[in-house]
Amino acid sequence: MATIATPVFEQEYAGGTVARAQVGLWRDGFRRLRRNRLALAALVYLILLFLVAIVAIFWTPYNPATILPNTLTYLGPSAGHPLGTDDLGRDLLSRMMQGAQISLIVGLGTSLVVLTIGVVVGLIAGYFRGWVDTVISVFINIFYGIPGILVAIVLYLVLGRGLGNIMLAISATVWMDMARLVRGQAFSIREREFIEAARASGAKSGKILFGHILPNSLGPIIVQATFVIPIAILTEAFLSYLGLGIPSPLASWGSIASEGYAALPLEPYMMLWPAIALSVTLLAFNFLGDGLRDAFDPRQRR
Amino acid sequence: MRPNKLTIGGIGLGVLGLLTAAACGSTSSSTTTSGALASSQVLHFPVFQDPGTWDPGEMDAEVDTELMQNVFDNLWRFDDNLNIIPDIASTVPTQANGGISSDGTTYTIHLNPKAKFSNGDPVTSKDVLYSWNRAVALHGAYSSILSAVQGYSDVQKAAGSPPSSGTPTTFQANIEKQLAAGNSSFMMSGLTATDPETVQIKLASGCGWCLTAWTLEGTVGAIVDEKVIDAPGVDPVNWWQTPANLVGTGAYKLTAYTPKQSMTFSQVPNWWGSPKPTLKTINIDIKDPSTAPTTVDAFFQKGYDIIGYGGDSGIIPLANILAIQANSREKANLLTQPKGRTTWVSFNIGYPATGGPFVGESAAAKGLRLAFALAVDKQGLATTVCHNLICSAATGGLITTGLVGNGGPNSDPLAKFDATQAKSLLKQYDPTGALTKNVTYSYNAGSLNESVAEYLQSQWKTNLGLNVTLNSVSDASIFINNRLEGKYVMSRDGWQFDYNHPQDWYDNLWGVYATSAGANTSGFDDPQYDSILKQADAEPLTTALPLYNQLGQILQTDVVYIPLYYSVGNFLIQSYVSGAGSNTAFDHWWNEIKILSH
Amino acid sequence: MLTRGTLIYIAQRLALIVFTLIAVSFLVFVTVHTLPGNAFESDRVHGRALQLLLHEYGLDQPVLVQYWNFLLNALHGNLGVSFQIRGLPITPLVMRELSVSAELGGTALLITIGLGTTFGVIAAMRQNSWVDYTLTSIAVVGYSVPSFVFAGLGVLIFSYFLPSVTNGVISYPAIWTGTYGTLVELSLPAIILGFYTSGQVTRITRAAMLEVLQQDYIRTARAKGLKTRVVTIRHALRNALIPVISILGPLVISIITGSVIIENIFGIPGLGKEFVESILAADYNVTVAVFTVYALLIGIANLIVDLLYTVVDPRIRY
Repeated sequence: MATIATPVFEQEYAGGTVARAQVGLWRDGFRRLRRNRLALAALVYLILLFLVAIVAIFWTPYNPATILPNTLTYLGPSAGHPLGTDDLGRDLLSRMMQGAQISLIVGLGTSLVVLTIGVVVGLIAGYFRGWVDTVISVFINIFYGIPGILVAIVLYLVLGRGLGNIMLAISATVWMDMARLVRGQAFSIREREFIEAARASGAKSGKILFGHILPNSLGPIIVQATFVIPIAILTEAFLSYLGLGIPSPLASWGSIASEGYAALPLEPYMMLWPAIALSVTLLAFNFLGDGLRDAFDPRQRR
Repeated sequence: MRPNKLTIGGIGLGVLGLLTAAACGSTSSSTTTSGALASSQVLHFPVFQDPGTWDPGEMDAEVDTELMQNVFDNLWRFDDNLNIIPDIASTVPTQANGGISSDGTTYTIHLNPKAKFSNGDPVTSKDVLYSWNRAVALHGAYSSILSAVQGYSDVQKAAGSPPSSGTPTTFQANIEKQLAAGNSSFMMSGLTATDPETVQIKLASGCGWCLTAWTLEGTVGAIVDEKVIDAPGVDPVNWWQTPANLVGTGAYKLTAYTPKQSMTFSQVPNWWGSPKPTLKTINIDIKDPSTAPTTVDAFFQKGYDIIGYGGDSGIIPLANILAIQANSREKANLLTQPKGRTTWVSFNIGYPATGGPFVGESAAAKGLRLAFALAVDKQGLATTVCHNLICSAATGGLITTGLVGNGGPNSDPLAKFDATQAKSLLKQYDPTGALTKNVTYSYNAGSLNESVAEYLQSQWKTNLGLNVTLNSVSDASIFINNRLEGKYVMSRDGWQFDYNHPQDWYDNLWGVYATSAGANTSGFDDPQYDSILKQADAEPLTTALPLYNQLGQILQTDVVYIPLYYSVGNFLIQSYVSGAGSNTAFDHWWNEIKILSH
Repeated sequence: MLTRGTLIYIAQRLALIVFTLIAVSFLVFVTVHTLPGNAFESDRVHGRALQLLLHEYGLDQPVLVQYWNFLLNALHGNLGVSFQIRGLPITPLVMRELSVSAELGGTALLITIGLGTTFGVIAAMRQNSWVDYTLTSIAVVGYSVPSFVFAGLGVLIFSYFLPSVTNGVISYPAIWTGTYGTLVELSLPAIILGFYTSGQVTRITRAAMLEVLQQDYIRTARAKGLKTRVVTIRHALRNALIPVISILGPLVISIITGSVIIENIFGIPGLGKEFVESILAADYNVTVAVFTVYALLIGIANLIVDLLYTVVDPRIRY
């Protein structure tokens, strides 16, 4: 779950890392993660999903876009079609596999974009402070003041339909949390002695930013990035459900769900599969994120 | 359901109906023709689109005209058999009764002295002149219906150059101002009022389709009350949104309108026309197309009386139709009715700049067009994509079954499916495959359009071995704009009939008139086509029909299109609703509907 | 409480709101008006006729001029006219839809806070028991499972399954009637929306309760012999609610975002549905108006919440 948003000028960042040796933090964190059974189960599921998506690049039981004669439409699960067929006779298992690809691509891709934007903006604001920080903070606050989904829809329309554009559109709605987080990290770490030492020895800002500040804030950043993934998948699913998302004939779980909604009186399964897939996948990412956060936050007491 | 905001040339089917509807295998609704009347005569049904405008001079969408034909009247209307009968005019002008001059250029019309508006104002010839001149000046969607009247283009030119200033409503406000002041450049010279009950129309030349077009209900020919629109404080753009201003001569008037939510119409007391209305109130809910499945549910829980009115005969999702057909109790409420609308694929023939292998009239271009046409299994499309429930294969030519000009089943050679010949044509005219390498099929987004596009793509792949790229355009206005400008190599195209006359099709889609109006998708133009067209337009239908059929044959020989399907409409009607399209000509006159006791 | 410092703070926030509104409306206005396509073009409306329509609505002027006119009108409360329903004034339409969204959102907010705090408190009091795990898992399910999944399930169960099993006796009309719907029609969408955002409240409440329960003064109260339940409810709850108030702002934003989704699924005539509809119909004036109203709503909601914070926690001062 994303950290709760509050306007920036109101409070400082939430959470922080202590000045531990980096290596110890990672080893410690992974040990704790392994003990969290829920997070482990989630990780296993996600790895399986990832494998399915990779397999789908090369092979699916049928071509997800092939239209079959109408005697084979609206079928329930059967031997030939384990998940049934949709209103045009297309095999649902193949389409669900393609949907897995799309969800993972959108999720991970958006996370990467948010990571990039958020880290860069946050570092600049937190390190340089002054008027740079003020301008960036005002910008962040404006974005907090508008419902993200509206921004995503407008931006997506402007950019045009496509996988890359939907990642950009969604990123524009969630980058603020990452920027705020990194900004806070930059604030606190900036003051530490080893940064003073680095600056005294003449190191350039860039080297300090990326060589010292960033590595020390990796924990919360990774956690935050993990939480972006389910938000991205959910937003894409909703846009596709509305008919505003990934263009046909690509099958996204959201568009299958919307077709399933129209087919409810005839074949309830069609809505059931994407519903289950989305729910479990989103749950998995959220549990994983929780687990990572607990693992890397040394203040947590069990 | 994906929202489909395309309203292509929409005039409601119900306005004119189809002669051979019964012969086309429509299942009839079980309306009881006798029985006591219910004490509450209230009709309740949903529409799935907001009104765009109810100004007869501007109306365009099917949902608007279908509703407004009950509020406004034209000089004439169509009866159940599509004959023209008097409405505000007291007679139908013919050469025999002197209403039409012997050379066919002068029409003399007498008005019914009993006709009056719902606010009590009598209808005079001044109202007819005002309504028609205003409609022409407004450049409305259907103003071309009056294009044969002398002075038509002068008025359009005068009105089309409004004083330029930054604020809106200058164009329409200016029209009202000029008409109120009696500015003659805003009045068609061919339209005169000889006395308060007589109107004379002068045409430049004989016109065989004009009377039919002027009878088209709910649009440009409808008569509005000048006193109301020009009253002080009334906005010329949105006057129609308040019940007090929406004044017409019809049997019903608007009593309440909550935008995006609902509207209510009530019977006009002591209405001058006939048949006298039985229904007292019409309650209409405006709903979102994505809620169509739950609205169907509501129908079966007796929440609605009819589904499919308001131009929404295609709103019931296929899954629901299949489910209803499987349920014997529900099936009795379902009425299937062919709809006067055809969909086809247009080739780029006349725009060399756009490119593609189909440009021009060379043997190769024609051969390739034919190859693509023969490679599509039209029956298969209707079966696979529509389950033969929401569309049927277009085998009788582009004019829909049941309309004048349709050639009858299997009369269109382009509707044939012949994969072998298609492949041999392809090999003959494009042996290297270089010409047909990058062909694109463009269409506007919508779930049925997607399915059709994917079906076409798979047909061309299977039967020709070609990969055709699909180009889905999500914004309807962009798609229409580009299509009208001939920017697509192959595009989804279609037409919904406005009135039962072949001129409606042949004038608007191909040839010189379409080109000059900027509406020629394929760019097909041919001196022979144009000369036959001009001749046919001037003749009465009986002598013009063979000429129009010749035009259809020219289009077929030249392979100007690939016919796809005719639309089929589905309606749900409660058994206690009588008169709702239970006759052959499926219409939406509210004054013919009665609620039986139940 | 209404000190000089508070008043200055309020003034600052209001200035920020105005600035945000202008910035947001400008960005959205310019963005949508540069999109190709318009609300008028159809098979019969093109060429000269289309140009005249565009001129009628001022759409042939430069975008900046159009925005300037929009801004001047907006300051008088006139948000322009619609293209889709020609000439329809937007302000009364948007105000009406705002009240519908407020009805849905307000009900959902009550459900969120009620459900969330209850679950959080119980989970904290039974920490690490199966009750705790169940409730926290329910919380995660709430914000993980997409709301249209719940909506689809709801329709499936209430509109198809139950009527078919009880032969039409029990049926749920998943459609909205009138402007404000009936209580029955409001219940399913509000519950789904409320449940969706309640997960955050559950977690915050649980964490806060846990922390408070460890505090010394609780131990003191227990040592004094007061009954556990009295101790909990009176002392712990009040302090545990403070973090909930602190996230009330983001909670409102979550509800607003979620309501866009829910309104579109259930066809509820509120702002969220209007937004999607206006974008699909190229009715851009309405899009800008809805966007601006949302920004105003969020700004004011955040301000009220922050002021509320001072009431709840007297240590906070501006």
